[in-house]
Amino acid sequence: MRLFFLVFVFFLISEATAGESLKLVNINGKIYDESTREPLTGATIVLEGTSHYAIAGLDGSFTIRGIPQGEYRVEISFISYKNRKEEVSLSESKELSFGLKPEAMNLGAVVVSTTRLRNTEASARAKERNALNTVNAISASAIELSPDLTVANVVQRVSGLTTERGSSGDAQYAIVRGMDKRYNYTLVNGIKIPSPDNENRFVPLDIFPAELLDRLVVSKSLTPSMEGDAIGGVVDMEMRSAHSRKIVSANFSAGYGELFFNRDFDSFDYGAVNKTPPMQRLENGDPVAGSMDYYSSGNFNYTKETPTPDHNASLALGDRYFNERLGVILAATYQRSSRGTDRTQFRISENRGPENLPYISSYQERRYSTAQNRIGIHNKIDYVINPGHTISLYNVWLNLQRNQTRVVWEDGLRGINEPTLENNFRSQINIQRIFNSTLQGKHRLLPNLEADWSLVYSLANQNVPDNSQLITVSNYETPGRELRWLIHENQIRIWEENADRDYAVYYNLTYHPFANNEAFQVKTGGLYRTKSRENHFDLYTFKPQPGIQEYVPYETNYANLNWRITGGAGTPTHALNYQSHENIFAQYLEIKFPWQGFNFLGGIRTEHTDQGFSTANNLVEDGAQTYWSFLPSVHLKYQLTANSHVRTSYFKSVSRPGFLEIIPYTRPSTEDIYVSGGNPTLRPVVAHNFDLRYELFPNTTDQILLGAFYKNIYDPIELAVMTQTDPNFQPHFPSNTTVITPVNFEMAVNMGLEADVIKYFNRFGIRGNYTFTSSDIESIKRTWTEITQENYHQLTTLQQQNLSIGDSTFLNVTQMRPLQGQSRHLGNLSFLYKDLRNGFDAQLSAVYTGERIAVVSTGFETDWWQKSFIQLDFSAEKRILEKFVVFAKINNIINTPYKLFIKKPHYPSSRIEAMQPNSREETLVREEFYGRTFLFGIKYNL
Amino acid sequence: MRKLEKKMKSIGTFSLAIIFSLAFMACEKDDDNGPDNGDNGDNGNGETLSGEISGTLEKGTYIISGDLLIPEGEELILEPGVILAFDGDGLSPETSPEIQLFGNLVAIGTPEEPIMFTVVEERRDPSNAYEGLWGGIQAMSSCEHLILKHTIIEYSGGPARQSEAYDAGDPRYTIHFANPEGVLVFKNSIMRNLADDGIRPQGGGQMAIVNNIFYNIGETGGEGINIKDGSVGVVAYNLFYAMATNGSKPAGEGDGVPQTDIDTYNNTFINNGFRRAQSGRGGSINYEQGAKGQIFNNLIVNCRFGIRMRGDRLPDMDNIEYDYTHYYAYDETDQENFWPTTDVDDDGNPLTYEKPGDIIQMDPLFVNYDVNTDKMTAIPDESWNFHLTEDSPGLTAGSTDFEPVISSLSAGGVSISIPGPSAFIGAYGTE
Repeated sequence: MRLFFLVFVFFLISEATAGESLKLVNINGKIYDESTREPLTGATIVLEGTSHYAIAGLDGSFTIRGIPQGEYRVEISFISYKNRKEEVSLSESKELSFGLKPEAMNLGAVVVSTTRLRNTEASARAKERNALNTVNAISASAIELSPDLTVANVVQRVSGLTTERGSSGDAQYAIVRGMDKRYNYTLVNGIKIPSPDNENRFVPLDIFPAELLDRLVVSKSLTPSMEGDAIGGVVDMEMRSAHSRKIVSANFSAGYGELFFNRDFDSFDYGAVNKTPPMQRLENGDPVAGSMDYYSSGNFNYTKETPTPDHNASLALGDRYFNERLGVILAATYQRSSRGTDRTQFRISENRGPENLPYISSYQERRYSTAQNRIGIHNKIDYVINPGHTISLYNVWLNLQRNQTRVVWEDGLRGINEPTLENNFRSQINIQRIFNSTLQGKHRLLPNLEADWSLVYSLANQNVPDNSQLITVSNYETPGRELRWLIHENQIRIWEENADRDYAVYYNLTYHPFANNEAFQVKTGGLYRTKSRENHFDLYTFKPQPGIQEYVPYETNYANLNWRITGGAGTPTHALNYQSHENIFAQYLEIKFPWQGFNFLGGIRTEHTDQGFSTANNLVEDGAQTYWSFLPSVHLKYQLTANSHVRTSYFKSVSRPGFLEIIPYTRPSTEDIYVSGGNPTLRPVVAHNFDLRYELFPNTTDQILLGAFYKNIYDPIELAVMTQTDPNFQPHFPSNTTVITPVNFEMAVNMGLEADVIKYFNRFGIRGNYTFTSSDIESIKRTWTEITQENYHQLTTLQQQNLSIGDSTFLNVTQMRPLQGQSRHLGNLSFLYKDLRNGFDAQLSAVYTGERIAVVSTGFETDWWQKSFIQLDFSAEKRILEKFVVFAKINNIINTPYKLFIKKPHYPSSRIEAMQPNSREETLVREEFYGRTFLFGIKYNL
Repeated sequence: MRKLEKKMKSIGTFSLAIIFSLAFMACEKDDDNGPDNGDNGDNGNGETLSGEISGTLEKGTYIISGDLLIPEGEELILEPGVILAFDGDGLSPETSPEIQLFGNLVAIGTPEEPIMFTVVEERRDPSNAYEGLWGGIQAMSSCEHLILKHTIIEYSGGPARQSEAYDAGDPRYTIHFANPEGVLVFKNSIMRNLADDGIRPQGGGQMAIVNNIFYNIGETGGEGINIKDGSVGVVAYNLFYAMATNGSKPAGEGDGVPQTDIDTYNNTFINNGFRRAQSGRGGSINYEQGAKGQIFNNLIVNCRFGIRMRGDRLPDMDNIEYDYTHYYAYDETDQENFWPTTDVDDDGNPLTYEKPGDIIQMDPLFVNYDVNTDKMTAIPDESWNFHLTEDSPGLTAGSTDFEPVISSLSAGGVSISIPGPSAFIGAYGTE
């Protein structure tokens, strides 16, 4: 880390020592967009006939030093702007600023908006400044410089956002202002996309390569024209589109993960995995897949490898044709990486006995090796029919395949001389895909009336074929009680697949009542979307044949083991075999007008939801929920000075239950001690959201944002443990059982403060943000409690027969806690250095995530907290030839561990204590390391 | 106590030979000499049944082609000599039918004409022991009573459908019971050749599991009786021969009420625990997870472990009493495992929480069973006799100085008396 600071300091010093001589003059100033006043970072100013030139810095500023006095002709140019030439007389040092005009397609009187650049930082600031709701934006040019490869990495740079990681160690989901992933939605070019998740509606963000973006916009407040089902926020990915210049860009990079310097990469025969479930491959009229011929054995052929280096490649081509009427862009990206996670974990049993402490029942070391292939292809074709009418077709296809091998060593902590050991392996291929195709039209029907529409088809699916586990266990029954390893009695292989199909129509009408004042606007429109979702879950069970099979310890090819099928017909009645539909019909009316320094935007949106399901289990009744949501919102912006304003907003929003949550299924207890089940009476969560933000834009690139928010969340959905005496106990739950199920809690409050600062000094930039959030929710927990008059009513009839006041039993108590995923303190700090003349950029980024609840437990005060952590990433690039740039990205520089713990001690046990560093106060549950990753590459830009 | 004991002895002596003859009647296909093998032209001979059913089934063989469902509030009565032959292959829930017991079932056979829950005749072979060809008796929480007396249950344990008791694909327990207010009686019966647990009261119940023979249960895992939360009752006078894991394992998993309270006395455990691949778990009697009860007069021969009182959560040690256990093992390793002191947990405690009474190690002197028989033997021979000879050290070594938690049960118009403890060790005294 010290090294990187040294690099910074070095460049700082070399900059400061540039000298000045007599009889020579300097010019400095700014280059900006004439209409928007945005600084044009990277624009060049050249004194014709000389070697003097400069490139505008991050804030648009430039300086040319040491020019002999005289008359000059300067040429100012920038991509997709018209060149400008000026005569200047330099007898002394001067300050000169130049505005450039966009190289717009002037088809008649109307400037077509497609030429507008969205991928610059200035455009991101303009978006934040000009929007009437609360937004944060990050541009492609910022992303390009950053260490980030996927959109999930990018979102954590936005103020108030953190991410949740998957088992490969990659960030996957966004948590917005402490609101869990279920409270946010994801858009591509303003169109909502479905999720490849098998139970929920949230979209994993690591499937999106960051390179495909023009800009990432996070809206934290909703206007009537936006879909109303976000309480945290909305992540909108504005994808690359064709500009007025030809685009040819390509890059290639390669890298390595540090973890694999120290250990092998575990792999299996990926090609052996059959992607179709056996029951769909039946031959010769077999009623069931009862022969081992249906099951490949290569899944268990494990090898230890040195992973191929990570490599990424991308290509983007774009141009406009036919007098710039037709724009085409095609971009593709491929990322291949080998990721590893080394994890230590303890199995925790819930609170036990009179002391109400958790109990550690096993210790595991897990090693994950994941080969990831990420492919993204997108294209956009837009055609300007005439100035008033444009039509565009957008397609994106994303594919993320993870081939993961998991190796686990478990110690059942049952004895020292003959420990209960397990060594198990899991071979898993997970393929997620998202496809979206949107046909869009924009029409100026009258000089002051515009219409636009979108026809959308989206498909999201996930396929996890032949997810196979192999468990081996320790045995000491040999003479001399030596350790030998035997194959465990039960083996399972699961084929799981789900797909979400959306068809949607969006339509908007925008009317400007005053011909010359665009600030007045009446907008109406809506959407109709019909979704169908299908889930398949097929599990097959096997036993070793013969039952006792020994294997050679540590050998890794188990492909030659013999198995016998005990369940060869799959599991058509499993709860995860279901179909869901969701039809959303929404209408809104939105008005916008200025009044004495105020800008008002407000209106109402109504959404009708029809969400239903049917399952393949005839014991589970089909069902549906239909309801209306009325969602008013008001956004006020008050201009304090020319470059500062205050905005405030109120909006009401909802969050709908997940697809599986409302299905009245039950599943037996597995590792938990409770039966689990769905809850068809779940209602959508409703929230009233208030925002206040002060914004100061000292110039077009710098900003200071200070904000506060307050959310009243009604009916938040959380998991709870229920018994028959609870009002939420569902009729389909088996009587006299304790069930864990999602329920609507009464209310939660989430509030916070945000500060966001961006400051550029020509070559230097600092971006920082800090968010404080505080939330409270009253949750139901289970604990060993003495029976009193007050809690006697919680006892079931049977309990009342058997227990009396003064006895103790497990009862529900309430516990206040923050929302899951919400950290009190969040921070981001990035240092940027940009030397355009030498073509050198560097960025050091730190993310601080304060402690937060990662897993809500059923026991009193035994929630799993994630320790606060700082992640540090670095990236740098250097132009080597006119059109080539080399770059480096180093992620996770300080190898930050991911740690989960319980804020309570556990029942002590001396062997565990050595592994529990702070056992008097807390219980370590999990600790994992990912190692640093290094990436080096080259980029080409026409 | 005296009276009880006397009554008991008569029951204890009752029927070993008979039971074994019955057992082998069903086991060996060629044996036509059994008192009844369903081929005698009785009612329902070969009739095919599936779907909803209640009322009375008369003596005869019935082919069960699909799930039998006894609706809530209704009752199915099986008369002596009924043979339910399930037509199943054990490869899917659909092709391994079960009895779905929302209502009640009463099956009371006679020693001469037991009631059989088995598979179709051509698959009734011990080589299919672990195939789980049919689905067992799945009693739901609405079932008030399940009474099985003089019955034989075999070849069950096929994969399950999704429900609150099973995830789809799990092996089914042969008798699953889930009503803490319900009554479960399993008496004078044989349970054998099963793929997984024999009796699993998972949601509680009041139960009498007495005078039975359990053998060859679970291929590489599975208990004869695996008792979970909210169960109260007696496990007595049973022979557990060749269970994959334990003979009987009461636990109080979950937090249901009442507390699991099972008295385990006068049982004989032989060859249990050796088919489980992983070391370190039970092989005869295992109390864990907050369960309580009285454990007396048991005979444990050639089992992988002695009485074990441990678990992720300890049993209710303050309310467990145990003593008068006799052990025998020909293998030195197994002798050490009566109370495995060689292996200790990280606090230096032996694997089994407390010493399970005095470790008395001696040959019980069975009437006709060689205690050096290979401990992997899974199916007992017809000629064996587990009564004690007059010279047996266990003959008067037991205690009768305790009261079982329940002494009788009545439900469905049937009254079941539960035999109290005997002064001998094991399930059978002298002949």
